[in-house]
Amino acid sequence: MSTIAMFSTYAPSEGFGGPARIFHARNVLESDGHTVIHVVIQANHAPGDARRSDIVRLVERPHGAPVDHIYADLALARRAAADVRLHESLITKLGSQGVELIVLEQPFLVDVVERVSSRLGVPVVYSCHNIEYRLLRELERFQPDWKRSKLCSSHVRELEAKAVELSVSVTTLAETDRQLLSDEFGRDSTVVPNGSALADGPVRRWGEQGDFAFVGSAYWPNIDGFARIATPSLAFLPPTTRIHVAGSASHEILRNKAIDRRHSVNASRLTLHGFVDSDTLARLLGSANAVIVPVFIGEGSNLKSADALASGAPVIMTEKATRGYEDVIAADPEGVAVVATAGEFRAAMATRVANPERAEPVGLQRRGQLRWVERLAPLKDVVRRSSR
Amino acid sequence: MNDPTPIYIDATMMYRWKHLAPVGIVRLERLIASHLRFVAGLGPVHFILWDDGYRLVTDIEEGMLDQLLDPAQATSDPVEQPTSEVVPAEIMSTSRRVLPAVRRGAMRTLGRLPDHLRPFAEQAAWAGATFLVESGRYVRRRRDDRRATSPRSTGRSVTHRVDFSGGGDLVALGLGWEYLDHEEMYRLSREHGIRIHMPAFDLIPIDMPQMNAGQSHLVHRYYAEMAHYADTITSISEATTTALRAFYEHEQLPTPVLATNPLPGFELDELGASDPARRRHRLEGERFVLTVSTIEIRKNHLLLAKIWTECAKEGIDLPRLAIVGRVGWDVAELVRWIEHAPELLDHVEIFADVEDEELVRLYHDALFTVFPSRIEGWGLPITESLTCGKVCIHSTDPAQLEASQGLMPALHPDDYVSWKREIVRMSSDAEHRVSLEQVIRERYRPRTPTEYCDAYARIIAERRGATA
Repeated sequence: MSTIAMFSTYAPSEGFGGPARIFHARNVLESDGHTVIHVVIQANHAPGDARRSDIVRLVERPHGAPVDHIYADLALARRAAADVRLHESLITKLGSQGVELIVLEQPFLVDVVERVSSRLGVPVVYSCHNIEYRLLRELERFQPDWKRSKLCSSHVRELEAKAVELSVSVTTLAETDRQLLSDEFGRDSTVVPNGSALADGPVRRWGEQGDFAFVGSAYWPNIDGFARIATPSLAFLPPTTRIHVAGSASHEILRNKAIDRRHSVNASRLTLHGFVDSDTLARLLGSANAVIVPVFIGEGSNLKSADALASGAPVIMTEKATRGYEDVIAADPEGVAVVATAGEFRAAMATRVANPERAEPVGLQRRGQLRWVERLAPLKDVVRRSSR
Repeated sequence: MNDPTPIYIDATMMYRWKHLAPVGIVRLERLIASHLRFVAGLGPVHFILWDDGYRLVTDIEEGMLDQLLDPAQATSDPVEQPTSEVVPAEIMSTSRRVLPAVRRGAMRTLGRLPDHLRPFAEQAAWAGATFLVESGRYVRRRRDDRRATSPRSTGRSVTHRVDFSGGGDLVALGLGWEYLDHEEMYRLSREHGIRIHMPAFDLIPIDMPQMNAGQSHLVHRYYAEMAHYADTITSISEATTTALRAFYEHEQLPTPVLATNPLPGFELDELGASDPARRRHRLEGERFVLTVSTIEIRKNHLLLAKIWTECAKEGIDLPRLAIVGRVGWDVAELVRWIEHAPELLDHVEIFADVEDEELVRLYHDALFTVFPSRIEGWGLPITESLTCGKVCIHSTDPAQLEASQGLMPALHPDDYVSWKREIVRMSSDAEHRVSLEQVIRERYRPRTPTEYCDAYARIIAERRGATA
């Protein structure tokens, strides 16, 4: 069994997104007898659920330096790559721990990992979450900045190419990503999809069902997707219907220009919960007439799709949101409506309001498939194959 | 035609405006309410007020509303009012027996007062009555709150909320976006099967939000929510109906039944006309052009100020311009022109305190009127002007063309040159002006208030019949 160093720009956390993936990956690998050390290199101190045995290093932004939120990880990567003391400290620390394999989450820390792996002589597994440079280029329109170099996305692509080249194995989140990676970098990969912590909890449907639930971070594609269904306005829902919004999207949703344009009617249909604990989240989703996943662009960790599919409530989602869960939906499509456009999405919501679903939980079979231990099982094989 | 289910008239705005000179919408609301209550014979009619949910009016409030809706001013023969059957017995109290007598006595006393004192005395009486009603309600609420904490009061209803369980029709007439709870309206429609009849005046805050100070969101919601609960929406013009249809299509919402009921010609009150000692109006003996409306950016008064300035510079002697209306929003530039442009001194003036009786005289004595507003739901000043037989130069906005029946000169609100030319011609060419006044006399056919109210009652009756 190996000691594995998992490099990321965020700390593990049970909550959401990439942090949740590495949190559960650690559990899965440790249940397989490995020892996992998280190496977190970040710009702001956010230790999440990091343990004392993990290594959390700050590579702070120079005072007064401009922040480009879309390429913040790229800036962090550059600072980390130039920080020789950081490299030396990591080499010393990881060397003393007898690290035998490095898992690189996303491509940004590839320069640091390259130096550490070459000095320690350990193989690298690149955990690819999406074709990063394309995604970031797509996101640029949400925060246009004339000072931003046109070459930013090219630099990210270089990091991705380097990560692919450096690694003995590559994992992707979905079959579509596997194909894209192959087309872009000519490298095959193993699909290690995401799961949902909700699948491990009890399933039940609570109380009155009549409202919708939307869970998401303030990540641009989440807000953009919601804005598309809220355009021209949310008045297509009756005045008594509410969409319960959980997650950091709650803080941003009414600031979106398209949503704010019809503030009065849109705000009347929303109940904003902010960040909620996992019990509240389960209750929120379990009470919903349907959980909605309106994602039309971007390719993030897509965990909200997994949570929706594992909630026991009916789901309305876009084709884009099914990314990585096609197999699960194919195996158990009960209560899942997949739509292509915002218009279809609104129509599906209106139909659900007119015909509220039964109170019994749906999609019990897919819940089983969505457990993290099931979804991350291929990672154990990849690690076994890749360890020296 | 007579349906036994009740008709509820939302009298909230009428009641709130009881001490104020009514604006166009409130005047219209009173006219329709009066007609539905005293004339239409549709079924039992009850006034209700929005007060955190709909409640029945109290006796005193009903008395106030009765005064506002004088049956003598109703537009046809009154029908006998059915006795209220929905008022719970507990509020059919002593006040119900005593107050009508008190009211009659008070009205007799007020009637003996001189004309110029009567409005003040009425206001004083109403203020006192309102104080009694409101303080009584406050005391009852406090008492009910205390009782609500005792276990014995569990489940006991302490309000006189309207019991809508018998169905019926709810007619809302006023400025609903300011107070209506759309969720409650939706529940009334869905849970009690109440047919809800809503008015539509205009969609200007939605279509031209740059012209309206911050009402865009509220008005948008008002019309959007109606898609879920309104049985009928009755517009005051074909232009508003067209805008509504476009609105529901753009918003991808179901369109309720839309009806158009164009505004009638209003007879403005001429109180005190019999007093020969009083001046007729403040511009008596002067030659003047009149423009009447709230003074706000949409009404485009700036165009007039610029024309009057330029004409003065060019030595063209235009009559004085009297701008009558409350000063509203976004008119800082206009006020600057009027206060500082030397050419406008004594030639253009704002009169913000003109009451109906003076206004009607101003209309009668004006040379002609101008109304360069960019967009309207109807264009009431055009109707008033034509009803008084005065020519009105207005904009090419479709609602204004409806109001003038296409009989008056209509110009694009930004066509400065044409406006200037027409105003100069109308001021100097008496023959031209007289010929247009002749057109008004011969061809202008305003709807009568009776026609208007009958049409409104018919729209409601048809819907009652259709869904009965």
